[in-house]
Amino acid sequence: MSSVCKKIKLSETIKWKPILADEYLNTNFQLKKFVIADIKEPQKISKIVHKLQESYPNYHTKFKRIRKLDQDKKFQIILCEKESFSGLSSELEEILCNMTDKDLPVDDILTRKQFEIVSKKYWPINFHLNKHIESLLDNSFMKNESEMLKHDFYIRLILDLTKFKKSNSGVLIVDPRSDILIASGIDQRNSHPLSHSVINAIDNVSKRHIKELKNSDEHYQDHIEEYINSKYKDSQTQSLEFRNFIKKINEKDYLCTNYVAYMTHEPCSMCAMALIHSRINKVYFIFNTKFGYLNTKCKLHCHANLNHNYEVYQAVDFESDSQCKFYFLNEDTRHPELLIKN
Amino acid sequence: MNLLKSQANQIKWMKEALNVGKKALDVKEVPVGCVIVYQDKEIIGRGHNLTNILKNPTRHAEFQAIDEAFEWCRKNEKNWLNVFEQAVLYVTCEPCIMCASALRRVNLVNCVYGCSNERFGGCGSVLNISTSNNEELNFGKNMTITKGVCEDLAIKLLQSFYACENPFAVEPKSKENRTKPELNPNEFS
Ligand SMILES: [Zn+2]
Ligand SMILES: [Zn+2]
Repeated sequence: MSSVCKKIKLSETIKWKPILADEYLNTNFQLKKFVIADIKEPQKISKIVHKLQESYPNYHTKFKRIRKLDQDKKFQIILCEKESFSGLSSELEEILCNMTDKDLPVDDILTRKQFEIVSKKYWPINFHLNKHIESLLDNSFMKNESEMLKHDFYIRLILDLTKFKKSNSGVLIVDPRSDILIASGIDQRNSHPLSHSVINAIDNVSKRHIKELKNSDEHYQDHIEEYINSKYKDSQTQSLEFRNFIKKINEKDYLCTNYVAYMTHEPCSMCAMALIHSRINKVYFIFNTKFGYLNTKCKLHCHANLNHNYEVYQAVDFESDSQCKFYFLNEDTRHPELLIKN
Repeated sequence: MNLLKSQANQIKWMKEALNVGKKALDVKEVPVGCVIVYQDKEIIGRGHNLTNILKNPTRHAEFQAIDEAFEWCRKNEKNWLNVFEQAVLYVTCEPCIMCASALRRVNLVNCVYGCSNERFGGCGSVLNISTSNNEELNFGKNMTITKGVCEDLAIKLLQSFYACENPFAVEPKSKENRTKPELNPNEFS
């Protein structure tokens, strides 16, 4: 594989952006009314907190209970949510003053950016930083050169195969743990309306697994195998070995556990869900489609009510690539549901 | 032609779907069954889950039945678009998001189901693929959904499978000794 990779300069590699769930990008928070008050005597803070705990034992939020306002050097405290407020004991009334309502965000705070907005604009907050999410948000997630070259190799391989097969879209399934090509699938919806590239790729992964598990001699050759054999005849690329390529299939795993899918196009709802059923780990795609379910119409891969999620990355600014212009964006050869950007 | 006017027929076809689903139990597959009925007269496709046997998580009952119906169209030299337009899918459990999408893709937009599918349902339980105010949200036409037909029997059929799969159950010595709710064969015929 290395020899093929070296043909591409690092500066020319495709850039990727993650397709994240909306809650990571949201800064338009939903607000709820709380009751706050000024503390007259800061030395009595612990007593106040204790007394409030007795009056409102169910109060619990992500916000810090007390904040210090630097400009006028005073302390403020959140008493409780407005809807559950039922007055103060006379004891507390004496130590608190300037009771007022305050709108605070109810959304979960998941990113550094959200944290900064909320603490600056609303109230100090308890927050645990998720390093992985931050690296996706600030684009530092893909700094490993060999990894970038690898993604490039696989995505260009499936673009080439799709074109070679005169199809409109294609999918390549890879086991990234040992860089093994598992299977490919190309769109054949002209012969069967459900013969989408993802469905075909999953069918081919399952054929390959059955072959490996039975250890059968039954001849089964994937398009990608045939293509590589014809295109990359030089000896070095023979490391793209197919025989015995699945070291050991854990029969308890789902079909695509740990696998990565490289696809030319954003999958439809059928295909996006088929990838959930197969438990794919990551998806990389280039073009958006009209009914796409990983970005355009829905982000199915991070739907909160499904028992499996996967990460999704889309290529950035790939339209200028010559292959695109002459094949994937061309009216005669493009995907029938390609979303054409204005 | 109103394909869904007779309630008696709906129950008759759903019992056919339950019968197909029951066969899945014998091969240790999740017992979801379906039939595709053409013009309220003839079954042109049958299917039950085959995901374990084929090691393919996309081989749900609906996919099997659709493939069988395509074969029927080919043999009878009929256009599948017209055939599916005059057909109804009877399925024991709510189609998942993948299958509901597939049904829109093949123009099989009349669907009757038994129980709902809380984990993967595409007709309202998790997402609503089948119908929406905005048809631009998905490929094809909005679907006509009838739910709750023979719901109890569909649930009972599923429960009989999960009773066998209970990880805390002692491994049964033979098929006959399995602890599972007794299925009355008459309920399905
Ligand atoms: Zn698709
Ligand atoms: Zn399904």
